[in-house]
Amino acid sequence: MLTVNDDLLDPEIIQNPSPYYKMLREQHPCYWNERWRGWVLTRYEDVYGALHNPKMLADRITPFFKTRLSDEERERFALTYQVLHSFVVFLDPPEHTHLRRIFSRAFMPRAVATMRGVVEGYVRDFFDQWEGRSSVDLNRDFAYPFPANVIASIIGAPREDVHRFHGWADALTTLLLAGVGEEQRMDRAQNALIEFKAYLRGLYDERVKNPRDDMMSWLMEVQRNDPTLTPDDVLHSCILLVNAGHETTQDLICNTLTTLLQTPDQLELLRQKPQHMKTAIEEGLRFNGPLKGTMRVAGEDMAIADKQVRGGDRILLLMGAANRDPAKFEDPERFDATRYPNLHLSFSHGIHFCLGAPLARMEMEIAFNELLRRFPRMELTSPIQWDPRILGRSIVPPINLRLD
Amino acid sequence: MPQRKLLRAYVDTSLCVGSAMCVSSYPDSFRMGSDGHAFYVAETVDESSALDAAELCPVSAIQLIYEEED
Repeated sequence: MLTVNDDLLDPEIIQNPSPYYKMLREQHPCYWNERWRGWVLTRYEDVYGALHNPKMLADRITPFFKTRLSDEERERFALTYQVLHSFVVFLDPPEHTHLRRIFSRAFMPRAVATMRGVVEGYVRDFFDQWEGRSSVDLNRDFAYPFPANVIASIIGAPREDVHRFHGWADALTTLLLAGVGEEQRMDRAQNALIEFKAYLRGLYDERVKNPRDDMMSWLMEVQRNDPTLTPDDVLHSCILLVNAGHETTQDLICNTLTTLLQTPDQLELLRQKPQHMKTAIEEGLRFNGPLKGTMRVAGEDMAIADKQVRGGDRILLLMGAANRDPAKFEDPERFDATRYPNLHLSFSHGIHFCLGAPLARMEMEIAFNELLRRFPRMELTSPIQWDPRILGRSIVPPINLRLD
Repeated sequence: MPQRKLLRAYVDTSLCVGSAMCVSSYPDSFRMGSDGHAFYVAETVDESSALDAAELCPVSAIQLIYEEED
């Protein structure tokens, strides 16, 4: 048997992960990756099982800080720990349950529906700027600024400040999604967190006396009536919202549109029958979702696919591989805009299922309907180069489109 | 408009993602099954909790069946 490539950032795997995922699913469904120093799960059944298993802990921040940093580093990055450790995505029950319930109310489908007008307004504004141009960069001219504008509006930050969010979110994403070539990524992330928090503190102080109709005011109101929450919880939560609602949506837009442009029959089908947009977006999530994987830590010893996993071991759940498991999806390597049912794991599953899923789905639907209607002749004119990341799946900009 | 009566609530397992919002908010009405999907367990339907759980669900998987109007 050939030895397995342990370099998850190998250019061949990054550019086309499918053959690697297939090999792992078929031959090493629970694989110890010595280089990454953790287990890798690739079958739908195992990834699904892990996402629903309460013994699989989401707090990978504490073990990282405890075991991978020196005492000096721990002290230096105490603020980073404090912020990250309060993120609902890195919490386990019972702490997770309470915070999650608060957020769920803010992002429940009915609440998200009230944001429709705001989202439609941004989509129109951005695409109005495309009119009359022969080419655009999908990323720079839409996918990058659009979700940031939406999430800023939701939180209550002025539109002219949005450009500042990009740098902060980028520094944090680089730390969390394990990019390469970033020696100083902890320093950079911490500096971003300090600035970001100070900025949000300004918005917070403005709202102490004059609450507004925005999510920060709403969170402040919840916090005042809840002795378990601190003002820091409000600020950290807003940092998480900006971060989570930012690059993932950006990547979802870029990955789905470029996939469609490279699958002309499916794009044509959607132009003819826009009623399939909902299933097409789900297929975009399945096929090239913004996150290839997520991480858990085993809470105790357990057996997975005949392997003995020890308590404390890191586990990489590759949703990207599970999403192409032929045991779950018929003809999984084919992009089928009408696929239904489509129980992909791209928004995760279980108690950490993406809070922003209703918002992301709405943003995608509005944007793609408008995009296909207004620019029916668009074509991809730059090559697709995937960014080397372990968890994220993101295209290196620019993503040039010819419009006429 | 006459008030319609809620007859039944159930979780559509083809939509449920196991976020457990219903279970953690209304443990008397919802339980988590071993397959990772929630299900409705209350013997008598409590309209306010069923309605709130349905709204809280991130994927709108909780279905409410009302009495047909005359």
